[in-house]
Amino acid sequence: MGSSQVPGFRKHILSIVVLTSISIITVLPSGVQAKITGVCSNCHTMHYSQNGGVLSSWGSSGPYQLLLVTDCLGCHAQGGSQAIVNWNGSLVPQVYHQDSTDLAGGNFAYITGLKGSGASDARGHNIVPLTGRDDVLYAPPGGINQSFHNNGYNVNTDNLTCAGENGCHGWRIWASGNSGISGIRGAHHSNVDGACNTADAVANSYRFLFSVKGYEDSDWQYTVSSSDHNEYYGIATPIKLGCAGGTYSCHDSNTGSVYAPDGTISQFCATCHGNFHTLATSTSDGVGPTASSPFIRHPTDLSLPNSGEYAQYNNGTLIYSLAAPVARLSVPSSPGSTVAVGSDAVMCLSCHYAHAGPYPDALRWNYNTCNAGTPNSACGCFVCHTQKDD
Amino acid sequence: MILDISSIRKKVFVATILVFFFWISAPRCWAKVTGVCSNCHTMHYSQNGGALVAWGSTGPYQNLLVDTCVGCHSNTSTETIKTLGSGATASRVPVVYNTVEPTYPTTPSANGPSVTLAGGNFYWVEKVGDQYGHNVISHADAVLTEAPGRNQGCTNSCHYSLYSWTFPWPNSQGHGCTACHTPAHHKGGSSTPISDEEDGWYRFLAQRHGTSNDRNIKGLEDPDWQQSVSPTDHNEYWDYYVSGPGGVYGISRFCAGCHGLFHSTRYGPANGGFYAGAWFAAPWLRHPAGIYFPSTGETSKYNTDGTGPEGVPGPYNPLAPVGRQNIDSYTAPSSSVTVGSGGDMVMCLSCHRAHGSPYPDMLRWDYTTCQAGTPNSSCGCFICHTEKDQ
Repeated sequence: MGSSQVPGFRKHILSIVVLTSISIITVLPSGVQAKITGVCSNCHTMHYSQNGGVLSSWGSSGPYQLLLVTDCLGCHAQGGSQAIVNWNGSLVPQVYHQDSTDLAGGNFAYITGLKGSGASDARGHNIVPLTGRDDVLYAPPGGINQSFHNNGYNVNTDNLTCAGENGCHGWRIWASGNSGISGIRGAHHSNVDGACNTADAVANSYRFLFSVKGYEDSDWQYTVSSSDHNEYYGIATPIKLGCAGGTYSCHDSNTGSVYAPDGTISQFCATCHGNFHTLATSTSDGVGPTASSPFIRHPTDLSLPNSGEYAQYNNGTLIYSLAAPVARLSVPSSPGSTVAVGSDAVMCLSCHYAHAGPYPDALRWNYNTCNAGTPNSACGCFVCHTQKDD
Repeated sequence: MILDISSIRKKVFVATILVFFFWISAPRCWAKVTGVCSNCHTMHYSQNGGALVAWGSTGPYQNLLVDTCVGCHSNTSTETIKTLGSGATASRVPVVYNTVEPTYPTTPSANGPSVTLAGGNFYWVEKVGDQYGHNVISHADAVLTEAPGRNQGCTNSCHYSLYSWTFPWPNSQGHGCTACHTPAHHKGGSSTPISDEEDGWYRFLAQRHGTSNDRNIKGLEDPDWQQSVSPTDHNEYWDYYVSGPGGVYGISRFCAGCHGLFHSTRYGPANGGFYAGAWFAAPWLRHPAGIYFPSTGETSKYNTDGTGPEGVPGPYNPLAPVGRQNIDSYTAPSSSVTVGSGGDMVMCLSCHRAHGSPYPDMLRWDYTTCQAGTPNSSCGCFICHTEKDQ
């Protein structure tokens, strides 16, 4: 009996083998925004390497953050003959160039002497890698009188840069480590052009100045007229800024970034130069205790009075002056060619270029030629102070 | 004790059935070569007094093979899987070099006898230009003198070039196919579906020196090498975050063996690596690999149009595949992608084909067509950078 069962057992073993083989065979494989445009390689390199080296068109000190082919200055401060460089289809505004036409923010070339009448630190903001340090100023003049804000501890001529923690553009977050291009991360790809009326992010803020509202001219004022220009945002009465007796803090509790509380361009400037442009607090005397004359410093964020000499803005024409522009109390959807006295406001940029200009103190005009009692159409002071040249 | 043969027979039968079904249903790796020995081997490199025309002409070859690596894995037609022998004893051979241009898959799904396999194809580097792949087969790269991104510290070694080796070791493992692969065609285990040690590792990507397993690659091998490919039909790659030398590897770290500066987390800014900050997060200096997709931001919306919520990726897209940290848990290819610290990773192969492609830098797609602000489903960049095409 047992022997008769062994062949059967063998058959089962054989069956296992056959079935297994079949199974093996069976399961064998059968087989109205102006976001940046242009090809990625215009601005980015994945490994900072091409053909085993670095392309001549790239910056030479990479690799750069955000996989860029160069840094802020490499793109925007090329020092060439054009104020707007067409980089393989991407239009790149230049802040450092030799073009006869400057863009709205001015031109750092006036500091180095690449353009204008010789080099001078007084003509603008010194950015060390581009202009070298300021040999006179260390801390930003007019800093609010409170700890670290008026002595250059936070920002000084050695660390002032384009963007980020120690810059103007992008997220200005203390101790973030994001100084430079990383502070503006992603903004070019989500840029809001035209009217920037939200300003709750870098990309939708005016010129990537976080929190600043305004209207961006599409060619950065390369072509410019009274009806073709940026529009700046202001308020009718300056505020008390700062954490030492001020009413408004310039630190955004939502993002941690330094910001302009109301989104005005003047408040933005005041984050470094607050004592120049805001009302007096318990620690800073500012422009004076109230928003009315007599001021102890020139006010900003103050509506031009609809009376007196100011009512005759620009020789009484009330035409928007490119020599001494004004800020609007609301962001327009297109540039306006007239000025509404009693409403439109004087601002920092009424007198100064943001980056640099051909005149000392980054002024828009040659202050030395402004003589009381002498008409001078080149003197911007007289655009508002219309009776001082009489 | 009475032996109940009938009962035993039934049990054996039941066991047979169970084994059969278990065999069918159990996932396993089928990497082992099949077919008659003579498909691949010749004992004396001689047949009928000479070498067969089907063999390579420069033999005899190591391991008694009838041809070289390239000889076996190349094809003079467009078919990307060729058959050696015939019938049940045939051997299927994946082709890495077609002398006639194969079809390159430009969509997430493709199928056909001429579809380029997952690793790409050496056709383009052999026939079009050096920039289209790794120079392994016929000539040295005319531009690159060493592996770009090389920073391994061991000069004049196999990390220098795939085409030639200069270090005088008494073998040729420093170049050619075996610089990356350690062939083990006869290995093939059945305990796991993952290709690992018992299978000779994923695609035979295994250590070239050293004795530990930390340079060996695991993965799930698609049975037709992705000749047919879709979000549910593909290889599964293994990648892993490693902050220093040694330890667990992953496919990106394998590439970093020669291209360390490009892809190794081992190399930080002090060594010219790819991360800029104090930790492994943006802003990057070079495109990262072996880094998980964050749960926020545009890349957390992998393979979507970028308008949806953060942290919700779309399905796996073979155009820009991801690596799996938990590869051992995979029994079949998955169309799901996860983001976050335990989720899937960007890897070298997310962008590149291992052997070559129709595009410069052996990219998976035409980088020159990737335009910021312009949707392009063929541009793999936008599969991860989901908001850059908006």
